[in-house]
Amino acid sequence: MRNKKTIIALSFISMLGFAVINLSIGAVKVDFMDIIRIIMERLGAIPFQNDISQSTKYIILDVRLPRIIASYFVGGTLAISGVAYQGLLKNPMADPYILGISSGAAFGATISIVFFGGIKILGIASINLTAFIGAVLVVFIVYNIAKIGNDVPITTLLLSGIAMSQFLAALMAVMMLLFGESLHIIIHWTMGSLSGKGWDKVISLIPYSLAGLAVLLYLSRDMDLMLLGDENANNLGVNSERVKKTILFTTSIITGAAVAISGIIGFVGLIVPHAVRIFTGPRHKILLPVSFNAGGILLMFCDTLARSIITQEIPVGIVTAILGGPFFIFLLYKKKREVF
Amino acid sequence: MDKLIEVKDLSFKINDKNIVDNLSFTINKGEFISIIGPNGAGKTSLMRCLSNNLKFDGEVRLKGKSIKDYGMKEKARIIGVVPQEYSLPFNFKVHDIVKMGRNPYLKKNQSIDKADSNIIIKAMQQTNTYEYKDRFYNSLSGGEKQRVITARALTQEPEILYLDEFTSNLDIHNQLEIIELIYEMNRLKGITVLSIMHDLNMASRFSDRILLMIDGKMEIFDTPENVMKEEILSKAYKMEMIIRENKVLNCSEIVPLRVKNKEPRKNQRIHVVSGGGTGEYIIEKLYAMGYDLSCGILADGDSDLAICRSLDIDCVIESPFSDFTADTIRENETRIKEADIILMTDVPFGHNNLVNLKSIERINDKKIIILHGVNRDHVRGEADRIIAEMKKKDNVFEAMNLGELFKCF
Repeated sequence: MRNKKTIIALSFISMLGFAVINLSIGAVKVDFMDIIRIIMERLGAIPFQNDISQSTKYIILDVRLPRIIASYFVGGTLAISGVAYQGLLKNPMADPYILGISSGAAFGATISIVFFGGIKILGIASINLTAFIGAVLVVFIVYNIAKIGNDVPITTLLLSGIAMSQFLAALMAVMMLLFGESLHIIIHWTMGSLSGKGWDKVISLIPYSLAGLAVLLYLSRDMDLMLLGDENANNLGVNSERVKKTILFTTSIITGAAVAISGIIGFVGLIVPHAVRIFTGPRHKILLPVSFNAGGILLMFCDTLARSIITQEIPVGIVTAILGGPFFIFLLYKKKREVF
Repeated sequence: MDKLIEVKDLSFKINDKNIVDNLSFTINKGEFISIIGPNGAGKTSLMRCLSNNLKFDGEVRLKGKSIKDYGMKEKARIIGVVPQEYSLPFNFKVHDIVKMGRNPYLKKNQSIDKADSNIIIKAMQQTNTYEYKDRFYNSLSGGEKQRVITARALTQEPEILYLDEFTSNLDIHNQLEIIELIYEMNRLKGITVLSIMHDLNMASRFSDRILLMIDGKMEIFDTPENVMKEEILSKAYKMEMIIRENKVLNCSEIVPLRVKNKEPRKNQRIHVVSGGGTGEYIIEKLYAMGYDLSCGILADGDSDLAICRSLDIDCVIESPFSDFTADTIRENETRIKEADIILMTDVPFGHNNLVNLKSIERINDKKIIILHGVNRDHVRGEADRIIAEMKKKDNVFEAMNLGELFKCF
């Protein structure tokens, strides 16, 4: 038990350290101590620091800090969604997008880009809204296609998810052909980016993200048992159909919320759960919080690279894939015997 | 007796086909029940209905209450299910798997306490899994995995264990070890056992009652002696078999013979002179080849007689340990006359059955085949002398072994 708490505590401390380091990196270098002073000043713990310029304070507090927090929560959300999907589908290849959330979101975003441009609806950029709706709607459709009576068999769920993804991808391709002038924006969106995410985006994501984590943690032992198969879980006192529905509902909402603000960032939801499982084992009670944190740190780190390697910003989805791919292959090669 | 499970008019359909067809029966507390039947008879479906994992028609009452009214955890505190061993998509440790059996007793976020730990450890010790509690489940052998899954079911502290062909993937050592453990739980702890078995001999040996299913229907639900009958089982499994008494284990035992239909009748009759088990193999084989057979004289209780009876072969029988009477000898000689060929196994001859040899000694008009035997004379050389005389005749052939013997046909 102590061991478990130590792992969780260590991962959170390292997250805070990472956050400070990432805050300092960028086109404008800011000293570590200055960052801490700026944050302390904002929190009211120390008086006004007049040796730090207003523009530095602005860069740290209103540009980098919200972006880093957003990246943390997007990464964390994708990672726990990945954990949940891999467990639910009993399939190590599953990621948060496997049931078509990504194509649903991308399709929603495409519609918005093509038809609505930069309109805001109820203060929310239409692109975020349609992406969220697309994501959740697709899972809803996939779920209902897959449903047989009251049960949702994994195989039909996976198949209808894949079919739906392919279909939406085709529709998107058609739209990209028809509206060539939006091509660049659509592609950029689908690659995923956290560029220019302000406090409003952070605030729109955090409640979903934390609520999702809480729900999944609450169901953590049921999720362990469901890895034994639905019927075995039933025989051990788990209402697996209900748990399955709750998890599907929760993960699609939180993934939708994350994707809506960040676009499609691949790999985090696939590799983080696996990488963490190597260290923590497959039990969800520890796997979920550590994955959340690891996913957050990974995306934070990748996003910092994305905005600082070259002067032009790289879509963070590319960075996660370029870094994550080889790292995962390395882990797989080293640990395959123990884990799989 | 306490009724634990009462089943009334239970049916389960897939596309209007009755997989389980209108079953009614009762299982009492403390019984060891086996469900047997050919593949596709509906055994597993029945068991899944009894654990409320399928939507069925009719009624299943567990401890007097309809199983549909049970909460998931409440049910899991009474019924423990041991499925066939399986692999997991992710690698849990053995200890984690066994611990899952406590889930029915825990609230959502409640951790196990000392008492739970003790139950887990005890279940692992009973199943001999404690020594590898820290190993990865997926790295275990089939037998070890099966023991872990059994330990998990015991951790549920169930009143009844459901076992679904839980020994199918195991070698005989592991099979027996697991069944002995379950049997011990049944006899010592009073845990009721409901087990789907493919091994009829295991079912016969350990069960209080056996439920035989054919095509979704309950053919018979009775004690092993009453179920393990050739006319019942050969119909169920559509094959020929012999049921005999296993005297070592004091239970009925099945010897499966063949599924393939025997060769067409040859319209040739063979009279077999055998005894003491020397004819079992030969008689069965000739029967399968389509010959009409007769056999004699055999003493009642002779193991050759058992196979003749189960194959319905015409036999001349005499009471054991008594001299053969003139009547039986005459009866036997009639059979010999009717036969086209006479076959003598490597049966030993003593004072009682020497007459069998004497009856064929002077037959000159039929083919006689003698299987070579050693130390068969227990009448001070008389049998050996008769056989030596016979072998000089043209109609008598000696086969040195079974291979040569069957070449004569």
